[in-house]
Amino acid sequence: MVKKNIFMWTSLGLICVLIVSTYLTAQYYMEFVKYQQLYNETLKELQKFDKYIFVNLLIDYGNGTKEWHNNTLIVRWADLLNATKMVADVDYITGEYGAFVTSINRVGGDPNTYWLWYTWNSTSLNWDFGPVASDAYVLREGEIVAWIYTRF
Amino acid sequence: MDLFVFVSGYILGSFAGATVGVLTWLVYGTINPYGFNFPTLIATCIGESLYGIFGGVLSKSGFGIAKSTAIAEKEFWETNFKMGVVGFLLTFVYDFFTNIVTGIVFGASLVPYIIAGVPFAIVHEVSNFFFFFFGCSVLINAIKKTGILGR
Repeated sequence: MVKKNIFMWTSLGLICVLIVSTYLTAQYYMEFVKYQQLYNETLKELQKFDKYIFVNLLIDYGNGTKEWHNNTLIVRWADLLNATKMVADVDYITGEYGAFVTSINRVGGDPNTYWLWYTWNSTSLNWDFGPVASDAYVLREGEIVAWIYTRF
Repeated sequence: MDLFVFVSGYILGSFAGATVGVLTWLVYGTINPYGFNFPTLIATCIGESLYGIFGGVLSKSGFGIAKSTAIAEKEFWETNFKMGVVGFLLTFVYDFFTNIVTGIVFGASLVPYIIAGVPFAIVHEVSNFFFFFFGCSVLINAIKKTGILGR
């Protein structure tokens, strides 16, 4: 009788342990499902950004005023001209060699002063002169480019 | 609270224990800082009365409490363990029952509702195990020794 009693109470104690284990399992499973859902949602969000890149644009008006547009989100494969048009009012003419910017944010047209663009060389730590017209230059992820109103 | 209702049932019988459970929840549920909800109050009253009813049933069935509360006594710890298990299982039934009723009342899906209540249920049941483990036999012996119940 005593033995049976011990078995019964041990079983009841084990049932308590079983209940706690089941609770913890259910709880961790729910947490797992929740975080898996969040992970999938984040992946979906990130896929949206696959079509876009971030670039940093500087507009130097040549009079000491410099305007930075850091982390500007642009469409991948966008050219510099289109990227600049996203952050400023740009006037330009199209010639034999491509687009030639005449004014940015209504600044331009002064004698012997022109809008020239540069790209930041992170190796030499210098601004490199833009090798082609701005509408022919495709920007890369994280690139730093500058428009400088340059007097000759 | 659950421990006191159980002890009431054990000492005074199932009916008295159930009454203590219902009355306790009528007080607490009416002036509940989280608000008053009648169906939930009914469910908790019924759930709480289970402690009292089962306390009475256990007492009637001849389930004895260790007479000695000396910590050197093996019988004392055996009784404490049994009481802890009883407290845990009764709390499990109480939580399960009240979760189902409140889930139905608030129109929620039952399984997610019960699982959402798991963190509270674990704390409630494990803490009640320890309350019953350490408090039940000591409290019953103390009340019996006062002699106010004439037993």
